[in-house]
Amino acid sequence: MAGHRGPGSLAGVREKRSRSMRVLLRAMFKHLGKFKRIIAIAAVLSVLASIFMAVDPLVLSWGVDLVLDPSSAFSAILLLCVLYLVLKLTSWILGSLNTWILSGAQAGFVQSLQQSVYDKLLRADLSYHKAQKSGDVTSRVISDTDSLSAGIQIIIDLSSQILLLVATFILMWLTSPLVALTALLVVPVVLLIVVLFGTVGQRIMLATQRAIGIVSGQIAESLSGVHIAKAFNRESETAATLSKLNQEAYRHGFKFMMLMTLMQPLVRATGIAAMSAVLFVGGGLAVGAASTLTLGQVFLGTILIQRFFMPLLSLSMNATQFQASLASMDRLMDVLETEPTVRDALDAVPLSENSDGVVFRNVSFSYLEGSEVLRNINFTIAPGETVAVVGHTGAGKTTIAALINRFYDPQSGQILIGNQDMKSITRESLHNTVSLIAQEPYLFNGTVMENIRYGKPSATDEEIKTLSRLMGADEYIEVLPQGYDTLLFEEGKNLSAGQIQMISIARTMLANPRILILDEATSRLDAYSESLVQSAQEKLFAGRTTVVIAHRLTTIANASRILVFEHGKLLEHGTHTELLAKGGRYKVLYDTYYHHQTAGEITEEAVARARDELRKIGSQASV
Amino acid sequence: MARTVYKSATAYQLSAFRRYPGLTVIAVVLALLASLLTTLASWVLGDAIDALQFSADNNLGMTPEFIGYCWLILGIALLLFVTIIVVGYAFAIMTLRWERDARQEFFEVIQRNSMTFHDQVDSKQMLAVAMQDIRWVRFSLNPALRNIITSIGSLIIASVLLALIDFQYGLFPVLGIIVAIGAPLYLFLAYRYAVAVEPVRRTRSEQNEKLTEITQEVFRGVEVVRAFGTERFESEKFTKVSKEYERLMTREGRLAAFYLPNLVLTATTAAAFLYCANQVLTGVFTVGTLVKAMALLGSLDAFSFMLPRFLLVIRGGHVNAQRIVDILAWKDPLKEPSESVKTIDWNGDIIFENVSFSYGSDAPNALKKLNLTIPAGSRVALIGGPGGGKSTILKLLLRLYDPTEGRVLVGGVNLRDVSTRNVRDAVGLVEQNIFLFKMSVHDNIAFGKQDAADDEIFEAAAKAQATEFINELPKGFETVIGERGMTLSGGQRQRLAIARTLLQDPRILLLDDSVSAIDVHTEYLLRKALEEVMRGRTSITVTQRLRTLLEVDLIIIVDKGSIVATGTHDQLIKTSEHYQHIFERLPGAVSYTGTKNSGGAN
Repeated sequence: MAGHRGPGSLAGVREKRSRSMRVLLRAMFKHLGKFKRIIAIAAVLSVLASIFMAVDPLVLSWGVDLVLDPSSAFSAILLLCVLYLVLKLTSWILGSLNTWILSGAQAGFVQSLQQSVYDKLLRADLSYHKAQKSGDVTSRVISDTDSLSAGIQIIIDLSSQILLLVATFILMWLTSPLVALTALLVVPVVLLIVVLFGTVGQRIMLATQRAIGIVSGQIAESLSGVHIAKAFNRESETAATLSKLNQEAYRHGFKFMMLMTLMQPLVRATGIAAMSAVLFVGGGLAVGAASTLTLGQVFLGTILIQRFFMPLLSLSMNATQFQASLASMDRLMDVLETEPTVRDALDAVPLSENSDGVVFRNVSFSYLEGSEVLRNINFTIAPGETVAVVGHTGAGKTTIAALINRFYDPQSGQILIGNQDMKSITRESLHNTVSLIAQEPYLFNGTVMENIRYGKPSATDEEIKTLSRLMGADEYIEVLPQGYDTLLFEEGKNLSAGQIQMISIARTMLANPRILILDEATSRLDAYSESLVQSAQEKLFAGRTTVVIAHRLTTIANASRILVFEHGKLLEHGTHTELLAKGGRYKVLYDTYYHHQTAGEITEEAVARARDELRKIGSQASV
Repeated sequence: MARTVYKSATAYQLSAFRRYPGLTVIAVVLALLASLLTTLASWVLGDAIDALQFSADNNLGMTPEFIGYCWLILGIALLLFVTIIVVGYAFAIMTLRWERDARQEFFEVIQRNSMTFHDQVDSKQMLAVAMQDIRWVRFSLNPALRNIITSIGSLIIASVLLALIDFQYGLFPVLGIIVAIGAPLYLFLAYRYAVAVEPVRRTRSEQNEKLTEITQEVFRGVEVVRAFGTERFESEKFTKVSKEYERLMTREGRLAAFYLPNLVLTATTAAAFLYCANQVLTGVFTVGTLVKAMALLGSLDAFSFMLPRFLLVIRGGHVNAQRIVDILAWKDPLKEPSESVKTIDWNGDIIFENVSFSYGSDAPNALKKLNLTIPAGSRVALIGGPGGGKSTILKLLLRLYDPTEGRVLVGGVNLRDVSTRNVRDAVGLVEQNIFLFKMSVHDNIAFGKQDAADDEIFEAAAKAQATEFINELPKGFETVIGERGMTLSGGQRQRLAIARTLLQDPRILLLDDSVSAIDVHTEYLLRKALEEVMRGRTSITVTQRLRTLLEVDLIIIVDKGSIVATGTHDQLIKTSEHYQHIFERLPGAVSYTGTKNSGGAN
C-alpha cells in the first residue's frame, strides 16, 4: 500500500537538485531546530528497540535445542519463555515510545516548517508570485514540508534498519558462515526489484500519471463549460472524448498495477525459497558425522533469513523516497533563503497623518531586466485631486498602480507620498493609507459579508450594509440566494461579473483609504451599474486623492486632469478640453476609443483610422 | 451509459465484482490458496526438521525425505508466486475496469444533470470526487480488500493447522484453545484500532484539505492581501488551522503506538511455545511439531500491521462511496418529457405565462408571476437592474431550467413537453462571459454543429467578422486557445461565440451583450456580426447598447423579477420614468438627447 503519498513515492521520481546532499542534510538538521533533542531521543529508542528485536529468535532456537536435550527441566523452558516475553515486551514498549514521541515531534516540526515557509511566501516579492503557479506555491507549503518530515522518519528508520540488518547478519555468521552466505542469495532479488522499479516502473508510473492528469484536465474543462455543452447539445461528444482518454489512462494504470502486483509475490516467494535454501544448507551441516549445527540453529537460520530480507528490501525502497525528501528540502531552501527585495527599511517610519498626494520623480521600472515598462516618469498628483491615466494596453498604466502600492520598487527614481519617500515608510502604514481596486477583482471563499469586511476587520454588519446601500451595491447583493450570507466559492462563480466587482469595490470603500487607485475597476460593470458606482464614489470619496485608470469617456471627462501614456512614457497631460484642443495623442485615443461610445453612427473612415492606429501600436486588445 | 441506481455505498463498492462473478470466485479461491501455501511452507518446515532429527538420531546424512521436503518448499514458493500473480491480475482487471467505468459514469451522470445541479456545486469538488474519491474506492477493493482476504485467510488457516496438531496426536486441543482465544482477540483489537483511528484520520485529511484551500486562496489573492496589508491576519489564520492539523497528526501517530495486537501475537506464541516445548520434553511431540507451531505463528507476523491499515482503507472507501452514491442519486427537478412534441413552430410567438422561478428552494424568486409575449420574428431588447431576471428569462428559454410555476410557450407548445435536445437545437445562446474550450479556434467554432464541414466553419467565421483576426493568430484556425498565454480580447471572444452560434443556425437567438468599452474598429465589426446573427430569427438581447435600444422592435424592462414596462424606445422615453432613468445613464445618451433636441439626430 502506497499510503497517502501515492504510488509515486514507491517508484520514486528522481528530481534534479541544485544543492549537494551534504548541504541539504545539514540544512535539514538545522531546520529541526527545537525538535533536535526530542528526535534524538526517539532515534535512540528506535535503535534500542531493534537491538531487542534482533535477538528474540535466538531464544526460540535455544528452546528447540533445549527440548532436544532429555536432561532439560521444564523450569528451563519456562525461563526461556519468560525471557522471550521480556525481550518482546521491551522492544514493543521501546518501539511504541519511539512512535509516541516521534509523532508529536514530527507533527510539530511539520507545523513549524509550514509556518515559516508560509510566512516567507506571504512576504515574498509579488514578482515571485507572478512567476509561480499558485498550485506550486501551495505544494511548497503543504507537500514539500510533509515530504521532508517523511525524510526525517526515513533517517531514523534507516539507522534501526541498518542495525537490524547488521545484527541479523552477524547472528547468522556466528551460527554458520555458510548459512550467512546462503542468505546473500536474496541480494540479487532485492537488486532486481530496485532496478525494476527504478527504470521500467518509473517510466510506467510517469506515463500513468500523465494519462490520469489528462483525464482530470478533461473533466475539469468539461465541467466548467458544461453550460455550453448543454446549449449546443454536445454532451455525448464530450462523454466520448472522455471515454477515449479514460481508456488510455486505464491501459497505463493496468501496467502500473501489474508491476506493483508483481512485487508482492516476488517478495513472498523469495522469502520462502530462501528459507528452503537455508534449510537445505543448514540441514546438510546439522546431520552426518561432521555435524556442526544444532537443529535449533537450523531453525534460527530459517527465521533470520526473513529478518535479513525484509529490512534490506525496505532499505532500498526507502532510498528513492529519501531522494524525494532531499529534492523537497532543496525547493524549500529556495524559498527560505530568498530575501524579498521590497521590504521595510530598518529605519522605516509610519506614514505621517498629513502626507497626501503622489509624486513620481524620474521613475523608471522594468519587470524583466532590459525591457522598461516605465521610462523616466515625472508627475505630481496634488492632495484631493482626481487624475485619469489613459493609454493603450501595455502603456504602463497598471504598473503605475502597482508602484503606488509598492508592490515593486522602481529601478531608478523616487515615489513620494506627500513629501515622504515611499522607501522610508513602513509598508503597513502605506497599505492603510493607499487602496487599490484591481482590474481583476479577487474574492476569497467565504460569505459576501466576510469578503467586504476584509477591507476593515472591525466593521460591524450595520456599517457594511449602510455602505453598500450608499454605493448601490446592496441591489446586487440582496438578489443573491442568501443575500449578505451567500457563500462564495470558486472565486465567486455563483456571482455575475458585476456582482464580483461591486463587492470588491465595497471592500475597498470600507477600508476608507486616503488615496484611492482604481485600475479599470468598473470595466466589468454594465454602463448603468457603472454610473451607480460613480455617483457613490463621488459621494463617498469627494476630495480624496484618486488615480483612475479608465476606459469610459464619462469617467475620464470627470477627472480634473488626464495623464496620457504610451509605451511607458508620459506623453501629455491636461484637462479633457485642453488635450482635445491640442490635437495630440489624446485626440487620437479619443477618436479610436471614446467617441463612438456616444450613439453616433460609425463611419468607415473612423474605422480605418482606428485600425491603422491599432496596427501601429501593435496591440490587439481593447484599452 | 445507462444510469445505474445504487442501493447503498456497499453496493457501489461491490459493483466491481458483480460484473465478473466467475472471475471473482476464481480470484477469491486463489487468494485463499495463496494463504494456504504460505502456511503450508511452515508446516513442511516442521516435517523437514523431524527428518533431520531422524538423521541425527540415526547418524545418517541428508535423507531423500529431507531433500524432498526442501524441494517441496521451493515448489510451494514457485506455486505461490504464480498464484499471487494470477490473483493480482484478476483483481487488476476487475477493479481497474471498474474505476475506469465508474469515472465515466460519474461524469456522464453529472453532465446530464441540469444547471440547477451545477449552480450548487463547486466544480473543483466534483473533479476531486471523480478523480480522488473514485480512486480511493478502488483502493479499498484493490489492494485493500485483496490483502484483507489473504491476511484473514492466513490467520484462519494457520489457526486450523495449529488446532490440527493436537488432533493429529489425539490429544485435548490445547493449541486449538490457545488460538481460539488469540485469533479473535487479535482480530478484535486490530479492528478496534482501525475504528479508533478512522475518525481521527478523516478529520486529519479534512483539515489537510482546509489547509491546502486556505493556502491556495491566499496565494491566488496575494495582491489583495498585499493591498490591504493583512499579512499578519492571514498568518494567524494559517497558524490556527495548521496547529489543529498538528494536533490531529500527533493523535493519529500516537494511536499507532502501543499497538495491542502485537502483544496478543507474542503472548499466543509464548503460550504455544511453552505447551509444545513441554510436550516435546515429555516425548509426546516431535521437535518438528514445535517448529511447525512456531513457524506458523511467525508467518502471521508479516500481516500484523497490514490488517488494520487495510481495514482503514476499506472503511475509508466506504465513506467515499457514500459521497459518490449521494451525488449520483441527486433528483433533477428538470424532467425530460416521455415523448417530445415534434411539431413546433419555432418561429411562433414566445409567451411567458405566470412564470415564477427560483434557483433553489431557499433562494428568493428570480421571476415573479411574469407574463410576457414576444411576437414571432421580432427583435427584442431586455434591460433592467442587476439580478432583475434578464438572464433568467434567457435560461428558461434554453430550458436550462424549468419554471417553478407557470409555463413558457413557443408557438403554443409548453417547453416542458419538448426534450432539452430539441429545445437546444432550435434555441441558440451567446452568453455574457464567453466560454471557449482549450481547443483550436476551428474546433471551438465547430462546437456549434455536429460534423460541421470546414467550409461551413470558415463561412461562419467570415460572417462573424472573425476571419481577419483569426488569420493573424500564430497558427490561424488551428491556434489553441488558452495555450501558452494565447488569450483573446473580449471583442474577439464574442465574435468567436457568434460564429459558433451562426453555425448552429438556431431559430431563436438569445444574446447577453453586456460589453465593456472597445475600440471603434472592434465595435464596428461587432455591430456587423450582430446584424448577421440576428437576421431572419427571433432575437432577444440583454443589452446596454444605446444603438440596440433605438433599433429593436420591442424593449422589455424587467426589475426584481417582474415586467416594469414594454414598448419601443420612442414610446418608453415618453411614458416610462424607469426607462428614462436607465437611458440617461447610458454612455452617449446625453449627447444623443442633446443633439436630438437641437434637431439634428445623427
